[in-house]
Amino acid sequence: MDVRINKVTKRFGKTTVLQDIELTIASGQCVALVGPSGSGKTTLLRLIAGLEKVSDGTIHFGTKDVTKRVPNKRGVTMLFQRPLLFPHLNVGQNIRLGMKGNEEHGVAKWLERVGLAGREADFVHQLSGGEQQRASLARALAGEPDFLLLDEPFSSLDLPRRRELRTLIRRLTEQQGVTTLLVTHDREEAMAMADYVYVMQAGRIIEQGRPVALSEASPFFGDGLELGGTWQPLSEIELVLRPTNQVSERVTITKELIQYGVRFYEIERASGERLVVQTTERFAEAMTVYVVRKEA
Amino acid sequence: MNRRLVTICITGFIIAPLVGIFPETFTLNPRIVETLGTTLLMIVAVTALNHLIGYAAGKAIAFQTGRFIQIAELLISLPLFLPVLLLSFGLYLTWIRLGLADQFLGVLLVLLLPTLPYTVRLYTNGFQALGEQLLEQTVLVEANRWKRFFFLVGPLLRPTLQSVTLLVTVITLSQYALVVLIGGGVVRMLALEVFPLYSGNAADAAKEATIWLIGLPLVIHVGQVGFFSLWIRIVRRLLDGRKN
Amino acid sequence: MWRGNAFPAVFLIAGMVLYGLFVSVSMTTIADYQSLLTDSVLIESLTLSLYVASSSTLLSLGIAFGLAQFFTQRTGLAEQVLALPLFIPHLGAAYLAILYLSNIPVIGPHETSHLSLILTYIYKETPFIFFYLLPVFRRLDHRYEELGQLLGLSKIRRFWHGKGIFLLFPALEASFIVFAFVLFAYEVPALLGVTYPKMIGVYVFDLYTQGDLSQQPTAFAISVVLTVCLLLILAGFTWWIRPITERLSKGRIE
Repeated sequence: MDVRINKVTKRFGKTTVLQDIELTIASGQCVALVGPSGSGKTTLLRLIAGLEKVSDGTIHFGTKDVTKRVPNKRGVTMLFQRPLLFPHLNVGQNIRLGMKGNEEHGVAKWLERVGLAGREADFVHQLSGGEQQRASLARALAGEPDFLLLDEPFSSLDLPRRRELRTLIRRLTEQQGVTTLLVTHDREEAMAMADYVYVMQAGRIIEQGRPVALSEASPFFGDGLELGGTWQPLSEIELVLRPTNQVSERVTITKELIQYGVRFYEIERASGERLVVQTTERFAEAMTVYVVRKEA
Repeated sequence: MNRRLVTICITGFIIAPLVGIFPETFTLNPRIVETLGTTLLMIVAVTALNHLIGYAAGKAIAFQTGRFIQIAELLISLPLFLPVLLLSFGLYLTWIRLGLADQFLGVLLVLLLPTLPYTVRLYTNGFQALGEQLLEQTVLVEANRWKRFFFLVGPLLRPTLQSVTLLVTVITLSQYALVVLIGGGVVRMLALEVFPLYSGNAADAAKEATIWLIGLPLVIHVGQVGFFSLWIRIVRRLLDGRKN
Repeated sequence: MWRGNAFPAVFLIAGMVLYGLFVSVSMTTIADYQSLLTDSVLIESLTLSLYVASSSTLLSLGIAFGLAQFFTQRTGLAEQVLALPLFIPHLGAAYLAILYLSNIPVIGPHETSHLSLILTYIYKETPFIFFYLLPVFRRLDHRYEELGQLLGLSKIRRFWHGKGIFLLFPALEASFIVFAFVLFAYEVPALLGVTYPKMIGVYVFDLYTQGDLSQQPTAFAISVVLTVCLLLILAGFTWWIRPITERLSKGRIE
């Protein structure tokens, strides 16, 4: 289901916090909304979820105009900054709350998918922060939404947990064909997750494009990354280069850099083209990596 | 609904009954004046004990963990849920044996029952609102316990300290039955004069008594607000003058 | 003292309460308790006390709950105004009822409806419950309700999971405190109540102080029975809520 935001404006009293926002998300894609705090990105997310009313403009999910629909009639769900599991319910009950039908093995299935198998009867305070956010993800996806909104759900986690959760979200949303919109102020996160990026500032969208292209051209999104760091002994490896390619190809690793806890590699394709790619894990055969930019 | 409208309604309901309490003539009732010494002394003593004991207990409940402190919290709350007055029948017999009956000290101790549980709660909430980290910070900034209280913790806890004094004063003033029973009519506090006036027919005398009953906490509260302002001003001045 | 010390408070309070109870028990015999069962004055007094205490508590709770909900975002002047009754001793509040309600039928003091008594308690206890609940309302995380909306929960379930469960125990606790206070109070009912039946606090106190010595064991027996009943209720209440409140407070921090 694709999502179209058409000339959306939001005013709180006399202050305009969003001005003529135009944004589309193709079905099944993950789009990131990047910008400093106060740029209006969370407000936009809340408009899409239906938690705030649009002042002007329309929001379409597929062919349906949902501008005036209440949140639970939109087929949308959201992960907040904090996991927000209901503390008086156990993990299983929390997930069941999200489920539409009364599928018998539903809860166990979802626990399995987010790596919490057997934790059904645990209460919230018995889970670590990362586990809580994963349970929250299970609850969100258990309702089989068409559209998942992520409001900086990684911000309360440490780096290893962030990477884990990012990978998990990408995998599950791709499996289920869920369209995803991620709000973040963290450029790296957008690079790691998104197929397409919108950059917001002061209530307007000021840049948009594929992460790779943006990072090269945009003064706002540019990375200023200088690959130096440790030299990796040359090695060949089979990789899937996202977002452009779907199949794996043989490349040579020429440089490695770890920055902000994210691994960046310079690789050389068979064609001689040099790319900077990003991954959250150590290289392994046939793994998916994200292209950050082209090297001259 | 309009916030202002609701506020006006509440104000009406709460303030209106207070308008008529002023007597036409205010004559200092000598019987009431006689009780003021004991009453004030009792308020000061009960309040001081509440602060001392409540401060320590509130801090413990806010920052200690484990089974003991949970049970302690429950035990301290007991008088909130139990008939204190009825239990004081038994205490009275014990006080007679200990020589505390009809004594200032005996009444003072019993008055802790209806006051201290509230005090401990207020202190617990106060300390929880401050948080452990801020409190640890104060320890790092100032090692001397007394200076720490004077410069940092006292001013930080100002709302709690004020609420405790106010609440303890009001509760203490209101106790008639407990004071009659344990004080045996010998420890004469304000309530002992006020209570019979309310059952009688002298409207002006009753109004005058009410002025004392409501005025006393008010005066004490205004006094403590002034005291705290002064305290904080002194702290600021001293800190301004400190040389690094 | 770095982490405080609860011993003095526990020693004083638990000491006095439990010793008072112990002495009361030691002053009674089994026969005193048996005679309570057939004491119709006591039953009438208890019935009246329960009526006054529960209606005062419920009405105060209802009003305070509504006000706290209404003023959650911003209180303004209302906070100062609502604090006023806290300055007024119960004795003084009872006089307000004598002053204004005396000549009104049904509502006035010494009427069997005991409405003057109930109104006095509403005047005094509504602010108490209000200030008990206000911080709880302020700490509520509205995102729980938004989440409930996204999860497609009904309005009632949304309220329950998002707000109700966090408010339930503070509201119950405040109500319990007010209820016990009204149930056993002496000063206000002694001034505003009727001569028969008396509120239980007045009845037992008068029995102890004004009756002859032979009445005292009855007074002791009543206080023991009432104290034990409340202790049992308190124990049950604590046993029931402790695990849930622990989950609530620990589970929210993350």
